[in-house]
Amino acid sequence: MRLKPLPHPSTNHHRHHHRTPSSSRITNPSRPSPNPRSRETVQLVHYSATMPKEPEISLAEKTFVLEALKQNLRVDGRGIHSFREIELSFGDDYGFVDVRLGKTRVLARISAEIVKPRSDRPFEGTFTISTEMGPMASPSFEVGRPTDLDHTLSRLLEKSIRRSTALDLESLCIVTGQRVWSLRADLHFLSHDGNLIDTACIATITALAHFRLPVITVSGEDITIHPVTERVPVPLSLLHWPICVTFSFLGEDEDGEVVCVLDATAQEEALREGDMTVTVNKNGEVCQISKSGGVAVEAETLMKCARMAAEKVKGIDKLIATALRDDEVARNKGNLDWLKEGKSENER
Amino acid sequence: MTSSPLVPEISLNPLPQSDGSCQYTCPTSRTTILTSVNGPLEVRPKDELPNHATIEVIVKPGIGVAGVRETRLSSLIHSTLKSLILTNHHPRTLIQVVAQIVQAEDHTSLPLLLTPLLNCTILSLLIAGIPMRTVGWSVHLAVLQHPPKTVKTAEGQVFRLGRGGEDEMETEESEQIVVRNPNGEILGQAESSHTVTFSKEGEVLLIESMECSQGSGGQSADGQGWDISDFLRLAEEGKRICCEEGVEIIREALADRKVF
Amino acid sequence: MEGLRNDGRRWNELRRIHCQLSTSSTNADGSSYIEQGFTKVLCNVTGPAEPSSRQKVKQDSATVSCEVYFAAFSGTDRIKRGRNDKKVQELQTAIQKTFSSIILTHLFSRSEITISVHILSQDGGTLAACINAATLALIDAGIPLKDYVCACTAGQSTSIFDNEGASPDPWLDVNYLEESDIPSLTVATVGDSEKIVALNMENKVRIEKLEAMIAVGISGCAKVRAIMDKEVRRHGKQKLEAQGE
Repeated sequence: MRLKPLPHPSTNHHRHHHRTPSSSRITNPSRPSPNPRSRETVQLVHYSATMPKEPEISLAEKTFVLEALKQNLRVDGRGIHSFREIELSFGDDYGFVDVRLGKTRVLARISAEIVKPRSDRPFEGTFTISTEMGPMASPSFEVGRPTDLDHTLSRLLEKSIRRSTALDLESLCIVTGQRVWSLRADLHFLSHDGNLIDTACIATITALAHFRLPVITVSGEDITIHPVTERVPVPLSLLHWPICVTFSFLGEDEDGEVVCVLDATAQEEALREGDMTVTVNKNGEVCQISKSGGVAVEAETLMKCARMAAEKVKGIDKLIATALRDDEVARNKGNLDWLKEGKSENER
Repeated sequence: MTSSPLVPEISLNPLPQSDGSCQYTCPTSRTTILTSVNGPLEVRPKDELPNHATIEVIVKPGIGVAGVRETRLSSLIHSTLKSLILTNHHPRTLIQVVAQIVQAEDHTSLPLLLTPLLNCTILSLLIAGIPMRTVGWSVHLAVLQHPPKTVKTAEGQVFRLGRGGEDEMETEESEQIVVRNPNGEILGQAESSHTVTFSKEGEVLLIESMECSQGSGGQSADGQGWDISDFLRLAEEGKRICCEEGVEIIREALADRKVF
Repeated sequence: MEGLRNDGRRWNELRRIHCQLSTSSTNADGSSYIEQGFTKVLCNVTGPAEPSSRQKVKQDSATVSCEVYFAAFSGTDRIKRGRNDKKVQELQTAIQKTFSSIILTHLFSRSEITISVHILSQDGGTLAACINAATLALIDAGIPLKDYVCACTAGQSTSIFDNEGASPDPWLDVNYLEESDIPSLTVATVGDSEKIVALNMENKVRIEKLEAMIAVGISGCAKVRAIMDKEVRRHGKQKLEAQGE
């Protein structure tokens, strides 16, 4: 956790550095600096580079997948509308979670620091979600060169979590106009086997629910941050848990209707003709729907999808809550042991 | 925590999608690194080398976007790998190494991250089957004036660097305490920190040393710099650790794999 | 109140739609201009042409690309939006993906069709206006489409009329004030099939209310289509007559 009380409200350069878009490209030293005047050159460089491609799906593979779908079968043996098993594991720190859906794996880490609030929103803390994909997830993702998936993903998370006001930003205020908490969610995409959007959303929500802010006391100008060992840190004020459910439209069933598949693998994603992401919380509030292009679908089918998403989210919500509770119990048990052994024990 | 405090926790191929990957956890500082290696891949024309494979190292920070620190780390790893990988075996290709800092005690401390990054990278290169001249191992040593305070250290983690071998007990004031794989707290009390990397044959691959600002104990600053003969003894000890223990760790980690 | 909205419309009334084809005489292959209330959008289409870069070359189909430009004076506040603005990129992706599935791209392999949209004035329903303008410009450019793509917005009205316990009617074609006040969605349909090609909603809404909103949106799309079709026919007739002379 990076906790850095600012010495002076105006010295904000550390944070500013993080926001500089060019800093994300430092790892790619050969990339020319984008000069707005020479648009032609930038475009040329942008597209002339070849990047390693994902292997294309062969015709035989395609036929096999689509024919199987006609009989309501999927290659990995799942039902059409079933998720892969969602595995959640937590790290030593608060706000660190590792989510696995089959071979898809995403890490989320929440960090907090104290900053000066924006002048137009003096009562609110800030929350940013960083989704930078690297070649670790798949060689076709390059550092500093966001793909379409990158844009879609960051926008969807932004709409699902930030715009639906899942996080009460006003609760992050410490001193109005002076100091607020600035939260940051860093998502690391480790392995890509389809459905990065849902996995990333589950990871972010779980990490937010797992995160604890250290207790602070304000006396006049001074802000004291109490270490975790001194005072029990407090959870964030999460108003609801929006969860994304992505439907992939591919193939046709026996009646010629388009098949909606849940939690598609990379193979199914490569074959799909359209997709729709619905974000719902367990109370049945739809926070966001996004279907851009792809195959045209009857309104009735879309409504069926939305209702199904609401059902699925109830299950996922319960799963996250259980995992969080189990982790809490394990942690508390550790704390008791620690008390028994005495405070000289401090291995970490 | 049943595992030995000097042997890292290693899990091989945690990422099934990449050609080779490794997760490495330093037993004392709990720094966890995940690396993946892909290669030989198609290379961007401007990076293409006619007689060699291009090595690309990307270090991704746990928090925030990559900055100067990550560039420095990746250039250190890059130079080490350049002397290990037989790049002329795959000319006009790309060997891509991505290292993700999963968990760290201190996300800003370069010396705490370097050793786990190097060791993890070397293991994942082995898994990916990238031809290498030899293997290397890295160890992080911190030099202290006093035995570490308030931190419990494990058996064998702390040793003394005496002058003149056997009669080290007599020259007590010149004794220096060396801690292997220090955690952040020990590093805060250290005078200097040395990351030494040796190949299996005992060649120096990388030595990254730095003076540490002493902890808040109000110590006088007479520990500026370090004595070259002390440093050579330290390097000698580092070489022993890398060539004997390090190579043994690699061998054990790979023993379960049928390829070897 | 008598169930009237702040601009005097009833719940199922569209704003005035004015559309025009062949508005630009410059190098664009097709162009259009549409006004939906005070939302004004200009669209140019170029193509099928040689792709601007090698990466855009697809062996078996045309590449559809989209550029969206917000005029700095288009909103209530003067905001310059660059190429990397998130809102710009989202609109671009939405339009590009929508039309990739509607244009018969397989007829023009190894070529590129560029849709550039200029938003001159924003008063709610920007995405819908952009989609409608792009459809008209593509028709003007003579690019074969599966059918019209028509988009419309619908909003979940607040419960001020909800005295008898009955669910209030959703509002059709929301303006800027309504859009910032109530949850709304944009729906785009293909031709008169009532099949949805794009659906976009960014606000929180109860799932029970969603169906009515989509239904109203679809009915709006049909009305928009009728207006657009009338203009296309009028324009086509005018052009033919001009050729005959």
